[in-house]
Amino acid sequence: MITQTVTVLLGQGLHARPAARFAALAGSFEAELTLAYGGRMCDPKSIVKLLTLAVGRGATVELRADGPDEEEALRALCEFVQNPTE
Amino acid sequence: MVTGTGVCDGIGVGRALVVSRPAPEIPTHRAGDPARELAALEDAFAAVITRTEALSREAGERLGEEAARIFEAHLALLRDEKGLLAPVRKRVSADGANAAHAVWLEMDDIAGQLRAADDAYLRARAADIEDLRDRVVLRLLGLKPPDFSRLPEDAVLIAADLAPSDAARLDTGKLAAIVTAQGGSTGHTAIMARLAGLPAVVGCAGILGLARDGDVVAVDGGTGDVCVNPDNATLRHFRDRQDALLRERELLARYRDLPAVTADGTALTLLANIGGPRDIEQARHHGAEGVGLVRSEFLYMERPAPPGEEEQYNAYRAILEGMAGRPVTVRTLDAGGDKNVPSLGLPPEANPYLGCRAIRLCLREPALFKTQLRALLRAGAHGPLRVMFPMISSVEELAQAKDLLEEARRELEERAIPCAAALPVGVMVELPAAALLARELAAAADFFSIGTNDLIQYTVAADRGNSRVAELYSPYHPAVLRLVAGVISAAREAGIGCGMCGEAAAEPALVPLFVGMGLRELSVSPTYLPGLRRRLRALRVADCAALAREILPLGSESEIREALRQGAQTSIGGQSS
Repeated sequence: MITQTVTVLLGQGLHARPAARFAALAGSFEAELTLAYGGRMCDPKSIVKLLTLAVGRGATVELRADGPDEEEALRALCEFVQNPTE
Repeated sequence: MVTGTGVCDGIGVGRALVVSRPAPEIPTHRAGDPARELAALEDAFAAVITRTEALSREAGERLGEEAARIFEAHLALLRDEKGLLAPVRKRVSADGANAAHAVWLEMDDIAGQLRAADDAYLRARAADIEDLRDRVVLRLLGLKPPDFSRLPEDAVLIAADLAPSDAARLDTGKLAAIVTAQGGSTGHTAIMARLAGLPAVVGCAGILGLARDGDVVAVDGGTGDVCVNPDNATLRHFRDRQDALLRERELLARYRDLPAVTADGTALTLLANIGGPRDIEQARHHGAEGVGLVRSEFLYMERPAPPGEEEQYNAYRAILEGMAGRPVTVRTLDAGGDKNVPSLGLPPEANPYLGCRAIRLCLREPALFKTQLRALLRAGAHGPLRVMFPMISSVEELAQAKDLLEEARRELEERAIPCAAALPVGVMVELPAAALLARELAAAADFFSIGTNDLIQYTVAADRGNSRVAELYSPYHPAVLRLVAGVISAAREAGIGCGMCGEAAAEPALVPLFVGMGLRELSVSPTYLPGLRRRLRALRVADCAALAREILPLGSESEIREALRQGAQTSIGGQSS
């Protein structure tokens, strides 16, 4: 299992459309994923859970991945949230 | 007259069509046969998914990709196993709820959580969940959603709110405008209206009590004003606004792509002033040939602490990429004084205009400054980026700033991070001191940009925001014009470029004068660009130069204004082409 802390730079945070793409991206990996923010955690493969976590721009979140493609998953997800133009 | 949030510019006048969406009655009895309820759930979700895919395609064809993407988010929601489908099924199998009730409870719960969010954008997304909730429930109950396919001509649609699926189905071609009682600028009604170019006002709380079917309604989507059964004078006012907007759009369409070349063949460069990546769209839409001023303060606003190097780098890079190879000039942090930026934690000053702000602040806080400089150097590897220092008052100050830029570049080299080898460095000339030292500064800078707003304030020592002296603030003041002429002249002698990024650049009466002084680059707010382009194409540089020679010796503003007025009546600004 590996963990990485990253700042969300997406223009509107993890909201609606980027959240849907983020969830889809997360869903493409085998590894079990967790996103922790503000003392709460969620499974980033669920868009409902992502939305209700209300991760805004500038928020620092912790991503955890556990599974065969954990490194690839973490890298892809961290890159996604750090791109302000997504 | 009531007011709401205007979300799409334009005027619409028509007859009110009031629509309401009755909430379906949800049966609350326990499920007799859970297996049957689960099967019904699967069918209903599958059907709504299919319908949503169709809506996505239709919306995409009619309104473009952004509209289609709204429904992509809906599809992701409808397919969310862990977050939605599993909990709904659990309500049926574990709690014994019937299918419609299970869906209602679960999705209402989720919508409630979103509605409680601090963030307005998320609160608006509750509407997405409610729309899906209603559609699945209607499907389960065997009911049909309201029909929007047959609308009368020139209707003004009035509703409490529009669900995303309704907004997507509207025949926007037939509508004059939309007014909703609820909703904000990030909701779907707003998004769809903007994509369709339909004047719209949302969050207009009083409208439902005021407008009845058939009433004449005038809507100003820019100001958010809505007038029900306006009197003749008001109606005329709305129509006049409508005509003015149409003329603006025509101007844009005609002049946007014509080169900014004077009637006698001198080319000028027209750029846009912007305050962040979202203005890029505006800038390009209005035909900007680049960005003459990026007000970098936007990165430092509305946040608890200043942005780090990575975030700034991404933002500057996004602007460069958004402008696709066109030049971009970033003004380094111009905060402090009257431009308060809480994230910097600056102490209040007794005399903010004359205080520690802009370059003075940056030179005092080298760590803060170099973070921005490193980000700019890194971004500079991705496109034609220039850096400009605000409020420079001396050659020493410019030298210090350039030293820090060089330090920043070495720091990046040590970290082996790719960056621009060198960035053109400019001075924003906005202090009388800088204007009077233009010759010396021109020897040490790669370009100038004249910031007329502050230059005027500092030259006549009047605060434009103070109503008791605001009339002293004038770009027609002879002292200001002479300073500007001196700066342009010093730049030309030194062989460096000189632009103007203050509001005076957009002042139609002054443009011939500045051109006559030798100005060849103007950077203005995007909406001014088409008009400016038209003005420039009608000018002859020789006439402008004669005008400048005539005006500069004049010692009073009234003489200058009179001379400009007369100049406008003769050869300058004669016919448009």
